Amino acid sequence: MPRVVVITSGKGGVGKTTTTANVGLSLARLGFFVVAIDADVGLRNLDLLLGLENRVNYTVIEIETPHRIRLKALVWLVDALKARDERSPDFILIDCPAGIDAGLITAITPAKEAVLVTTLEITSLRDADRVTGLLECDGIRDIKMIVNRVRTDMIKGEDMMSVLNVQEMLGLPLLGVIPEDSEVIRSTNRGYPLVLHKPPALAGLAFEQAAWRLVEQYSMKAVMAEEEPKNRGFFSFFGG
Amino acid sequence: MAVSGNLRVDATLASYHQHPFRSYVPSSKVDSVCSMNGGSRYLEITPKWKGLAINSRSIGGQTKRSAGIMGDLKLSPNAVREDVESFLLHAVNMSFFERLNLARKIVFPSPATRRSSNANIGKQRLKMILFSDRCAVSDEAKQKIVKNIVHALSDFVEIESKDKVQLSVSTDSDLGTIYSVTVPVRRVKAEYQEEDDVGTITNIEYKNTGDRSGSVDVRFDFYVPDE
Repeated sequence: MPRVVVITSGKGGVGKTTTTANVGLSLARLGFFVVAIDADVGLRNLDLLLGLENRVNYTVIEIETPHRIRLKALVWLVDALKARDERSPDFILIDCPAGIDAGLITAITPAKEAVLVTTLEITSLRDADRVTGLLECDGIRDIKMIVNRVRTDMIKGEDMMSVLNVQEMLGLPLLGVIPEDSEVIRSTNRGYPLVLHKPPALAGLAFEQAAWRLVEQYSMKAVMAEEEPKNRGFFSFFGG
Repeated sequence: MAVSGNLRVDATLASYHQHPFRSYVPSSKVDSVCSMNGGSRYLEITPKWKGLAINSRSIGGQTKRSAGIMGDLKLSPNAVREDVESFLLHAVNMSFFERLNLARKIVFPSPATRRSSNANIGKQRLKMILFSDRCAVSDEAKQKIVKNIVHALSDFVEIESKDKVQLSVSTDSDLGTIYSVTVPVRRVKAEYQEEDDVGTITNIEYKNTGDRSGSVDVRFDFYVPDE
């Protein structure tokens, strides 16, 4: 039975499609059969991330499905994948569109698990909380969080909230912490996914770890080392 | 990729450059953060000089932190160019004691500074927003809550007027979301009044006869039921 996971965030631009592409590729490298679906039918980006934009033949709008209404095409697609005679996929990752409107509701219908991507900004955290409420209303209880675009220098300088704070406030188990990495932009431009880099990029390593945690279905604990120790004695000034 | 490290940069008046500026900072391990993104050098410094009217360009919102140390100083947070020259002049003119004090404030920031750091302000705002978003209740629910509370209370007290009952939702920094229901009460119903206890104090009068005498007159009225 395949595991159907939606990658969602609420706010746009926090890294859903990047996460889908890289986690999906990491899973494939671990030996699983992965199908990644871009559920944003109008503004698709997953093909760009994977470098496959020239190889797009059909989109889901163009398939003739038994249901006249195209909104149900996604559910039909997932069911067809599950019912495959040959080997059915181990993972089906659905990259959701931004927002909390009908596009998202359609995209999360076939799924039982969710990965919530968020950054450490107050805007995306608020939207992430809204989306969590929506997911739970729709029956998806298994929600894990990936914190993206983390800048540890700003966390140390008390300019950015820490992952620990966010974990306390949102109350979701943590799947991964991805540092801000300019390699992400470069690999998007080249169409060569980040996790395939040799030597591996920092963010790529973090994505691989997150993929492994997804497989094993456990979560990580936010590290205390990000936070400044409360009482800094005189000698810590020298120690560093 | 962001790299955090210690940087001691020489003072040059880079007024010809729009973005990067370099300024003299003591080699304090705590606060000089240099993040190098690709080719451009982008120095983020928190100028924490006491008593200086700095109009600093907010690079990543660092100016709020310096306002904490400077107390009453009002900084314009949005994009005013820093006057490096006057800043340097002032720094040079500070006495040794002032500099020592400043250094102490930088190396050991007071709790007030840490509390008003950008991360903490963001955290507080986020908490408030999350509470109010999560607890937003519909009008219909409010009516029902009021009706149920009035019904529950009317077993014990006589309510002045049902229309004057109000429900308000507010947020409190310690407790989170607070629902308050204001109910004007005419009197307690007969069976729940405390009249049955003999000897309860119904009135207290207190007269202070002044400091010199050292005594205070207090009069208690006790309740004694009539036979």
